[in-house]
Amino acid sequence: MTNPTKKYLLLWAIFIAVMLLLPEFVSKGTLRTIIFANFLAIFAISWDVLSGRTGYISFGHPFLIGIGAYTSAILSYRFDMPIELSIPLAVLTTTIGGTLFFLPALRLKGSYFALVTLAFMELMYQLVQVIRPDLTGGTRGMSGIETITRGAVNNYYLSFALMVTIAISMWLLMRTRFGSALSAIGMNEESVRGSGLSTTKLKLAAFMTSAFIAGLGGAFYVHYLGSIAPRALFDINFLFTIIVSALIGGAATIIGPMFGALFLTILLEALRPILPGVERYLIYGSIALIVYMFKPQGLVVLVLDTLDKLRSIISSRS
Amino acid sequence: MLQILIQGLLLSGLYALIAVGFTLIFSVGRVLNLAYGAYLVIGGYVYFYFAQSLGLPKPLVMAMAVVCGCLVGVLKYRLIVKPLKGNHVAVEISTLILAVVIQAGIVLLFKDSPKILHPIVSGVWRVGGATITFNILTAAVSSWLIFGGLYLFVRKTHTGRAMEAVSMDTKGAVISGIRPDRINLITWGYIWRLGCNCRGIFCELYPAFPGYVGCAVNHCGCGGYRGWYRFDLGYLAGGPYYWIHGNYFNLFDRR
Amino acid sequence: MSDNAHLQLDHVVKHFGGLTATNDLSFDVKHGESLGLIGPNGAGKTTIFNLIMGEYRQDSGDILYQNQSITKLPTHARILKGVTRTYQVPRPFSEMSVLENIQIGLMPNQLREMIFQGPDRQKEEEIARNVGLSEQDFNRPPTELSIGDLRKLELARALATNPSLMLLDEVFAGLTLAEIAQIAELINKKRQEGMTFIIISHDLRSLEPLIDRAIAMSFGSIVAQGTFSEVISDQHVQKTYLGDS
Repeated sequence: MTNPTKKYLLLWAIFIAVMLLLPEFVSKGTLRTIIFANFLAIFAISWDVLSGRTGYISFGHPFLIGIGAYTSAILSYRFDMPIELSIPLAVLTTTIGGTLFFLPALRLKGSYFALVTLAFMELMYQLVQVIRPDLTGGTRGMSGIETITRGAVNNYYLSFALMVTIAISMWLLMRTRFGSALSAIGMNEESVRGSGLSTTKLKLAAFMTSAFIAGLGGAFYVHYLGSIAPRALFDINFLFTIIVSALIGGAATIIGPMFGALFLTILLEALRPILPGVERYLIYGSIALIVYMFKPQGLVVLVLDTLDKLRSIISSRS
Repeated sequence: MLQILIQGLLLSGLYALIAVGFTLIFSVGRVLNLAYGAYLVIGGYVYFYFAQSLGLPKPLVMAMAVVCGCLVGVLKYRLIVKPLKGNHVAVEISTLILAVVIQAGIVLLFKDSPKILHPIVSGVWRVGGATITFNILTAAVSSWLIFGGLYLFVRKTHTGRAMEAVSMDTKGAVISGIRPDRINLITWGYIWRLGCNCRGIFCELYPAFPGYVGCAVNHCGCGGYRGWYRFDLGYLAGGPYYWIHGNYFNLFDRR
Repeated sequence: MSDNAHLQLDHVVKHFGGLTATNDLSFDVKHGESLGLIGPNGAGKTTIFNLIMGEYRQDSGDILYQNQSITKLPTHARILKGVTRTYQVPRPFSEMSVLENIQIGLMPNQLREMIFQGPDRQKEEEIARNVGLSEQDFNRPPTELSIGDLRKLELARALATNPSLMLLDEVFAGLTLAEIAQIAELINKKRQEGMTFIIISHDLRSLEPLIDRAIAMSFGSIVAQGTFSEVISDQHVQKTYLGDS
């Protein structure tokens, strides 16, 4: 094992320890905020595996999360299926269903891909309300869906465990040559093809991984909330929050989306006393825009750079 | 049925105009302008505030919507699009963020509730069983007039030809002595004008309310995708689509 | 055409709008042979490379690799068969180090191997050394390399795909004499090992010792072929390429 790997593993261990002890120190309300941050981190990681790496921007992630959430919700709420069964089925549906939908789109380049994914989100929004409202609950959605566990602390541990499991497995997966190949697509797709690799296969694999995580996150999320409504899910603000989490933290990393999700969620909560409604997104969005324009590598890099600078200043003084 | 057909036919012009605005940017700059829906809404709110709340004359307010639109469009190009030049992904994402910022800004200024906008032109016209408001008729006619103007602009003026050249091949245009960044600037400014115009005309048809941003983003997404190739083809392709979409909208959309 | 053709173009036609890029073009290159492609800008040389690699599809005609048609294969499948190319303008992965760039070239096209097998660091270094990249450049990003080293990196990434036929597009453009000599030496070494080459170059002096045979093109057609001196003294070539004087 090389030294940097040891260093990273140590950082992971510290991070996990701090997060595990967190319920001892903070209020239930804060915990609920962090639960949302955990789910947001899952969605952001899912988005990043596809879009952050390969540069194929998906505006349709709410669509994938929606398939996962709705499938599991319908199966457990309407058909009384146990959650242990409905969640795996939902993940499977998202991975396969999402892939079938996106398969034609994966052959499109850049902006066209983004457009098609955006159209999928809108399509899903419309369909959910019109087709079989007796199943989906139509515009009003569903509430009273079975939850996995009760109480902020339990839900916190559950969401955290899920997030960390996903983060570490993605971290391990992205460290392999597969991860390098995906990043290479983001830099120059033609040269990847020119190196004898099928980019369609790679993109498909990235997409399926992404859809798998989105489905998993979506299914767990719906059983945490206990309710689902199309308006909240297929919303531009939700899409924006997912994408910005990944970008503001640092795209094409794992720590980036996690950090970004935490940062954005806490920022959003901190703004609540000043601006209660959607207006918060004005400040929130402006900060995101400024960070994105001036530090495209993200906040994690910004923090590390600042630390390095401080360290060099201190060492030059002493 | 007749009502739906006529309404759809008339509205299609308006939708197509919206689609062209979106397509214009896409064909020239090769980037999706996801803030485009927000542009429309700004036009609507300018009209709402100045014409209805302050009671300024309607033609003046329409002109104001256009001017303020151009201004912000140019600002946006200078501050966001140009610094990120060459990075399409970054521009697209920053326009998404901008859409959210504008939407939130509007909520901050005007609150979340829908605003009822009065018709620019009042009166109705009855044909058979169908009712056509003069407002829709005006909207349709002016849409097609703007189309005509746009077509002539693209075909006949030097700037228009230059825009077309950039949309077909940026490098080729550079060789011919056209400055693509300038053309991009013109287009972004122009797009604002179009966007705000649309919304100005649009204003009675749908009550202006902030949630519309997201919806408009999606609509423009569809229109843009269908009419992507070149902007003069854009509205030809966008027209029929929006004709159908117009019907669909009337049938199902009760938002 | 002979049976031992490594690559064969059979009546290949490609139009771009009204422009004919290759006009009913037929030629072949034999195993272990090195073929030079010369001609003025816009003669269709690079288009031929794009067609051979499957980056464009020809409108009609066939391309055979080891007597099998590869016309229907996508680019990466052609590379797996053993054809590879370099570009006039090198296209490295800008945020990866030199060795990581080579790693992409070495990567197998199987997901399972990509995930469960680590990179072969020794092999990467061996290829990098082979093309003449120095140790201190191994972990640098391509943005810090000179144009000469970028071309070497391009060659290294292409060689990493283990080709038997290499298409080189303007490998000498913008290089110093020393760098040209280095790359020429590398090409000659690979020729001795039996690799087949098609080389596009405007630098005729550097090209001459590297090829067995030359083809001169103009407006998508072959105007002359034969040994280098035959082609270069051909009347058409003198007129279209080297000027009337």
